[in-house]
Amino acid sequence: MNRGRALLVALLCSAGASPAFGQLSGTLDMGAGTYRPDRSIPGGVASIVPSLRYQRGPFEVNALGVYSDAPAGRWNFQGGTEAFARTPAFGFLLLEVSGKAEWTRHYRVDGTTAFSGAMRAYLTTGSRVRAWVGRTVGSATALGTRRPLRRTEVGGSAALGAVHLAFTLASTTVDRSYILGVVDPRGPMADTMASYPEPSAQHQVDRLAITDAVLSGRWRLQAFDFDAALGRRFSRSTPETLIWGLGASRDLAPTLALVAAAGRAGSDPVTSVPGARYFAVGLRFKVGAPVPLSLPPAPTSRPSAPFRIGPAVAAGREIVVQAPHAETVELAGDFTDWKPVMLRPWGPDSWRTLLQVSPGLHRLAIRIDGGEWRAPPGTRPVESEFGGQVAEVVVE
Amino acid sequence: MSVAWWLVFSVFLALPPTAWAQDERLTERLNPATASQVQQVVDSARRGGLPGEPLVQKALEGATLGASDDRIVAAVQSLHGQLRRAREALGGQASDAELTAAAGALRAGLEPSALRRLQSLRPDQPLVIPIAVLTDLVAEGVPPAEATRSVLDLARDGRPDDEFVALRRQGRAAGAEPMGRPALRPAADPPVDQ
Repeated sequence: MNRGRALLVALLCSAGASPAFGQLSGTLDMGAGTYRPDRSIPGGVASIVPSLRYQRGPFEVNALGVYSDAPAGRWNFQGGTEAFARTPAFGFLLLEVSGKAEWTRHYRVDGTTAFSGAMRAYLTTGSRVRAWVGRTVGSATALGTRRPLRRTEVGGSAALGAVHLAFTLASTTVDRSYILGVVDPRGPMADTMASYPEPSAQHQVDRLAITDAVLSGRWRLQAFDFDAALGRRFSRSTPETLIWGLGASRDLAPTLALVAAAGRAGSDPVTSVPGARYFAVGLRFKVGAPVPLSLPPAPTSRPSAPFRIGPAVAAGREIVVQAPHAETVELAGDFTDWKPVMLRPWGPDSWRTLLQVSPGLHRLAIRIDGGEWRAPPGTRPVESEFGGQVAEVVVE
Repeated sequence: MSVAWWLVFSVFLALPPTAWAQDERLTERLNPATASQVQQVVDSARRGGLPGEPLVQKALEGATLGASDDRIVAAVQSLHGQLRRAREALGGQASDAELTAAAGALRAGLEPSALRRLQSLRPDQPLVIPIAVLTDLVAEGVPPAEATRSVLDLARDGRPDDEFVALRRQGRAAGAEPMGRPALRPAADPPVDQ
């Protein structure tokens, strides 16, 4: 199986692993600008940047692509997809695991492929301040050579009014090859693993370690969205580099925005994309914010959320309760006048019904096999004035 | 018929049915005495410009959960008081759904001033989802001041309802830093394409 087909299979697997019911949103940026890479031909480029995000409960899948077309038919594509799974918060602690695939393709030149897995631990106080530490391991293949990659990161973020600030310190280690006697490996162009990939008698491999310290901020003001980043790249084997970026978008309509970006990006040692100065303007088309999916078919396995109220469709909202080994499951709430509604079996261990539920805060309870009324699993239980517990849920 | 009688007759016709009829849901599910007591509270609320439906739902909840008559009446009266406090906080322009959500927020321990501030920041938009999210965050254990500040920040920026719901998810998941949103940076030339 070639690499492209393997990537396609990985993508399909990540999509299949994600739950079949959730929220999908995305953007498509189309623009043009100037581009001055560190070691390639500068000039004007046109870019298309699609991105998708699928989220359901603790699972999230992001996909991002950047396609650029430069004069003389030189096209380049960078793509990446990353899947996350997060645990519930244990007090101040939350854990996250993720898997990531990245690849580049270029006109007339082989690209790079990288697979990695990461684990992060978040410490959080409320929803406005958090800190995290993470470790990534994986391997990257560039021009026929596969090498390990390692990344360690620490960071923190805080929301100050309408401004969101974040600081990250990330150290990336990859093996790099270079040709002795031809180019000084401490030179400014030797900052990626595939800088000088031609194998030869003088071919040498050493370990490249790069540390990026970046302070970034994002500010939302009415229809405007601003973001800025300023950082420094440190490395024993390459000169220090200033990294910066400015971006702005202005909403023109609910699904359309004007965007602009400029900056000095550092090279990506994993995908071997060189650093560059850039400026671009364009339009951003928003696809769903978020888009509710249509009702899914009956699951072949247990749904991950033990209780859910789906998006509104013509027939109402789908309500699914996970109740293994139950003989009967009833639901009552302020949207049924507290009259018990019998749910129907729907796939292994699941029960389902369709009801009209308006957006807002609702109280409800379930009863299994004629027992006590109680809050459904996975919901926030509240003490009822009448004894026992019911659930209060926010319906979007 | 005198003018006075015509006036009395007109007022009688203009009264909403609920002002003089028992809610059938109450009479079906509660004993007659309890249904009558609950109906009095409901009518009192409606006369005062408060929504009666949440009071009916509270009584029906009690009936479904098998509560005693006394507890049902007490719970309905308590909710009546919370709705009154919610109306004092939000004023007479608030919708029934907003008052119901606000009553839940006050019950969860939020200050009326937080609701007033939220209303001032979203003068022309429904408050149901923001209030529900605020209540949910507090119930999840987020400190009220912290939750209020987060929700007010979104309201100040004019964010839509789905971003409030996203905030609630963030509060639950404690927020990770995902891949980041796309920048309009061109894809790079390969390092050897000189």
